[in-house]
Amino acid sequence: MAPPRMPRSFGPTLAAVLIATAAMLHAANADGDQSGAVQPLQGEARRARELVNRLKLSPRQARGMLAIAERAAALHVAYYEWQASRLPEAIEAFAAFAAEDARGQGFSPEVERRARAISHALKQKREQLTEALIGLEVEAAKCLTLEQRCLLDQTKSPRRPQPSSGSTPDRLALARQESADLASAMRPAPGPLGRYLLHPAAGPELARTAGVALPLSLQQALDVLTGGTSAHPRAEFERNRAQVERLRNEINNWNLINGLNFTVEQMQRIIALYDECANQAVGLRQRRQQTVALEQAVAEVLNAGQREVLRTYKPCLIPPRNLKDPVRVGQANDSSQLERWLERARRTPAARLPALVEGLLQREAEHYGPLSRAEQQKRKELLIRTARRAAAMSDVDFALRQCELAEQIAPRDRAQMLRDEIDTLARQRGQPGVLARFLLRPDFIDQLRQRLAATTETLAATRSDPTAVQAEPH
Amino acid sequence: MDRTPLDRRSFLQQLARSAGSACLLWTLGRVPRAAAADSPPQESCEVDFYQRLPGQRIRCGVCPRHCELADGQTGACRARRNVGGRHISLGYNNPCLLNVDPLEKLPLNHFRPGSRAVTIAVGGCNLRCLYCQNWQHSQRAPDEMETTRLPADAAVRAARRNRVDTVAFGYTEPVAFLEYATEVATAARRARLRVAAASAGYVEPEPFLKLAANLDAVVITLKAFDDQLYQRLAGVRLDPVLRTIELVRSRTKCWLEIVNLVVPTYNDDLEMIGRMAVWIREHAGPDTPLHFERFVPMYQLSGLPRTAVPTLEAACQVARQAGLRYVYTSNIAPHEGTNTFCASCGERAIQRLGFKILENRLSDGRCPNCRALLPGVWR
Repeated sequence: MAPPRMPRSFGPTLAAVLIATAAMLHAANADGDQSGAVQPLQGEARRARELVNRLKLSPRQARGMLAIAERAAALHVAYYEWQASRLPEAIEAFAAFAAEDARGQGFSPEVERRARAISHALKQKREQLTEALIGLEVEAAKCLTLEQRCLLDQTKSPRRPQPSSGSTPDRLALARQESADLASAMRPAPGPLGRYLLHPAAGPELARTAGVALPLSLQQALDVLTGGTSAHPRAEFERNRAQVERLRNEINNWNLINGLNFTVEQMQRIIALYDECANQAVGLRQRRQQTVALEQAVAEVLNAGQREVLRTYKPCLIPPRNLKDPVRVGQANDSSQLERWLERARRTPAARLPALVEGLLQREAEHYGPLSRAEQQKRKELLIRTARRAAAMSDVDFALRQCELAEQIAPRDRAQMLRDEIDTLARQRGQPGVLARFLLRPDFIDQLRQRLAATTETLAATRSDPTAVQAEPH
Repeated sequence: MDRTPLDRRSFLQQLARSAGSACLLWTLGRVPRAAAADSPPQESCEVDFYQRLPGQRIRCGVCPRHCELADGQTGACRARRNVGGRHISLGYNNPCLLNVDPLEKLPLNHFRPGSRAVTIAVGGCNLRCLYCQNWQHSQRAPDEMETTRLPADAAVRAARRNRVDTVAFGYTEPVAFLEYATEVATAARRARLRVAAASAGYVEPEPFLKLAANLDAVVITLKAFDDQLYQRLAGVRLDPVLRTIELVRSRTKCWLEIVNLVVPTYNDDLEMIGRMAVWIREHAGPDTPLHFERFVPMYQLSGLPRTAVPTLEAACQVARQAGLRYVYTSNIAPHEGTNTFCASCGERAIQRLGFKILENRLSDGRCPNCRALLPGVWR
């Protein structure tokens, strides 16, 4: 039986509201392309113009910038070509992965390997571009005066949430800002200089200010970024990229559906609640209140375990395999890495322990964000103290207390704490929370309908013919 | 310095000789101790249950395989060896795994929920399960892997020192290290600790009863309910396992829970699951908790998919229809099937997330709603 569909007239409105809300809440964690290569070029050109005017670049400075922008353009073009050539492979790998994910019975090794490989390659390339752009940005900043650099620092990123105006600081806005700052510290991205002034779209404005003709390389880069290349036209590139994003989103939804293990009754109830809400014709203003009410109703359908999983859920393309803890969904934390670290620390001579601690702190900074100097010192002392304690233990005691020790030195997940705080404050103020962000989206509900139909079918087959319920091997 | 010129042939001969010697030395260095040794390991004990045969041969009496071993041969469990006509347990005092785990991991849902156990495992197993989740330890001899020396008294002291009041045998098969397990269980009981074991139950009655005399709880894994399938999946027969379950009920005071790992295309036939549930109701009682565990691709069945959640739910439904009152899903979370519901009124009494207890509403084992006493050991 085909699942019931949402009325067409209403769907896009609710989708728009929910997506806008989700985007606002999710700003801190957005995992978009930060290189700037994917921004619409008109927007880039406008921002570049604004920045040139604001900084009041001299012709000499503009000439200096132009030379660096040419190098950045070469990077953008190379990234475009690389990405365009790999996107079809990503579509194929992610589509196969999503198809297996939809069945909720794990993945065949080859499908998992291919999805993992291409996902890693895409991420790595994006990081390489970001790193290179940051390098050029540092170089470009040297062309500016101190005053101009101060002005640049005051330029807010468009992704960054703005605190509400008023004399008393708004805790929700502050928490969001803190969360955004933490996210950008963990995933360095080019600032306005790298994003806008060194983007090929800024070329004409820089050339005009410098009083020179637009260099050919920049013109060519602009052509590539707007129209694509003969091998990879822009329209096809955009289609492929949108398809990859759709598949990523689909996989994340399947991962969550699989990880939450909904019962048939729960799925039916959530879909019914969503449809009921979607079928009410209300204005956009009331829609938000309705979303909050819907979120509360759906929260009551979930059990405590599911709510806990959702609270700590971090989207992740390839779900971790952990026999020790069947609860892990997405990138939620576990202590097994720290247990292994403690094991290593026990075998490490005392003189080499600080180096081992430094290595761990570095990895933690990448994962949880950097610590202040005082916090870092405190953590270093805790790790060394615990490692010494572990080394002093007998093999038996260490085996028995390894997990406990690892929990004692578990790093403070500031991002998770901020997420919890934002969620609580948002719900207190009648704004949608984490549940709406992940579950109350039209695409998620559509996939939930598919899972409900498949489950109902399986259960019906079970009742009529018990021998028919046999999973097919990969 | 005067050097004798080396012709090509001599050079190649010398090279081959050196390479041969190097290979030989390397191979000798890599020979596992179990294969090379025909003497008892440093710490070993004689097995209680075996029969001496002529010509220094012996017949093991611990499990229904009854391995007949010549001098130097090791049994199918890889954990016992004939050393000069004496049957020796190799894993004695030498566990390969030590952990503090929640009892829910064994899995025990009706035995002191939320408490922890020092779980001990020794290498070896008398079964050959195609899907073994601990094959790295169970399918190797105790003297082939890294172990920790832990005599029975030390195990008890370690549990006390770490404020854990239960000792459990899990991960591998306690029947393979029955002598050591019996000694640890006896010492633990003497120290007023609780003792639990997870076993496949493929064991002769006498050795099992010797161990069970000091056990408080047993989890028996019932792999399937068809003899041929049992042999295919685990390499052993079904009947001895059923006999062990009956023994637990009739001859011991242990709390019993049964586990069935549902493997797609192997033992997920609901009709068979139904027969199994009826047998459990009749021979172990309707209050015996039955866990349907989710299969995760592993070992020799790594090409199979995970068990679909609806299949597990259907299995639970079939078992309940057959009259079992406490049926669980396992190795899957969060899932409603992992919670404990009162069989009288349906009230949720214990809520779990994986191995973690989120809420325990039982008081003295009684339902918070209807005050009915739930079967189990709650304190």
